[in-house]
Amino acid sequence: MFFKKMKYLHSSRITFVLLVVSVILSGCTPEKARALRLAAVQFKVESLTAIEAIENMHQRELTPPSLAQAEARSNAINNILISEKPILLPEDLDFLVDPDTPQIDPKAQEAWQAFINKMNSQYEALAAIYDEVEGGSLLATKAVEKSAEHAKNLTLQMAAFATVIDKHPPILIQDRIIVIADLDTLREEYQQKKNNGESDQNLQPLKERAGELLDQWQQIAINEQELKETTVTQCLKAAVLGKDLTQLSQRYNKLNLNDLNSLIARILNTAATITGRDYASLKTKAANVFAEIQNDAIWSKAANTVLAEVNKATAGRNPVLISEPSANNSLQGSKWLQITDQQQVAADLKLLTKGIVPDKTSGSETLYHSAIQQHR
Amino acid sequence: MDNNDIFLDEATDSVFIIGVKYRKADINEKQQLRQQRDKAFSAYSIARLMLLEDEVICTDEQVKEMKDIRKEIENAAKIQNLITAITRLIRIFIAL
Repeated sequence: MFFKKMKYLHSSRITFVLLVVSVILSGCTPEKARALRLAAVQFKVESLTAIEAIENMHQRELTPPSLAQAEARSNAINNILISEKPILLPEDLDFLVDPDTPQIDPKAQEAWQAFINKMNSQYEALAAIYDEVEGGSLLATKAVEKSAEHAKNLTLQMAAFATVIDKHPPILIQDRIIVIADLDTLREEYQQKKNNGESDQNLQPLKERAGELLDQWQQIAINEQELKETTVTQCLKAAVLGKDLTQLSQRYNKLNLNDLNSLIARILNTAATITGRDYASLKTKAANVFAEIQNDAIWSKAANTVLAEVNKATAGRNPVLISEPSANNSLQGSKWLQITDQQQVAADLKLLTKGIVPDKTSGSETLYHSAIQQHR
Repeated sequence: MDNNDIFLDEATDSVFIIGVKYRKADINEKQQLRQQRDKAFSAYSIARLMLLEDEVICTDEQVKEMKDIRKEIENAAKIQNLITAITRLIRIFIAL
């Protein structure tokens, strides 16, 4: 009995010692796990913002410029009174009140909604992977490394969205239509008056109006450029963060304190400095990031896979891809889904760079270095 | 230029040609042009969507894999908690 107890105590001590050793070997594991989770949240927040920016960009392409209330009212009254078609249904009246907003086919609207939902689900699913990573910081290393592949794909996907929008920039269709139509009307009027022998003095107001419309045309081009830059910037910002997240998950097991601090600083820098004010330098930065991707063996493999997928899709290009609402839409349960406060996440990351670990459960702060010492 | 680029270009041209006609029309002519105009805008909307859809590489299968990895990490966290609890018990036992 005595020997049995001794043997049990001995094996228990071994287990305990092993656990302590593994904690020591793991170095700053809880901090790494927290940094990883925060990086994932940052990537998710920026990606969801990018998806929203794409949706807004498209809405702006289709939406007519808003009229002053008095002008809209006056137009609606005129339309109602001169309409030859009887007004029988509510939609008849709706059309007369606002004839400029196009009615997009419900199937096209559903396809857009399905696409947006699908994208949101994908980026939320990636962030949700790391919800419990701190609790499993020692045993989940393999699972974390597996997640890197998905972070890579979603990063490249976001970069591809930026590229396609840059290649096919948004068009403020309705704004352009107004200027073109008004200029064409002006042209007809001018030629008619000229043919009727009107004096140059009488034609002057038409010339001035044409000048105003040309100024509007230039302003539309500026607005389009801004819209493109805002959208592309947001996609690139998300992609740059995605690359940092991928590195963090790829090297999770090997990261030391210095690597961790440098990566967190980079994530913070990306989140804070990419604002779209300097579009040219952002594009250079993004180009560097993607050059780095191409030079990295693991990344270039993923990039080639993407290229192959795109080539496959291009080769077998079929008519409109109407996505069914995905089962992914039912994704639930991620605590991080409710996190929209980017400032909080950024503040947590800043604390980490200062060596302070914000406590997940109690909200209190534990000193990073004392945590290290405790584990060692 | 691939098919999607061509489709977007064609949709853009149609939306402008019909849109300008529509803008210059009075409300009764607009009633006549309305359907055509809505179709052109819908085609443009779909063309823009197709360009984005073509860049999607993450599949539903991969989303499922992500959910599986999440479960793996959750299980790892449970086991780690259990080990920690057992270790604490052993420490108490040793201390006694």
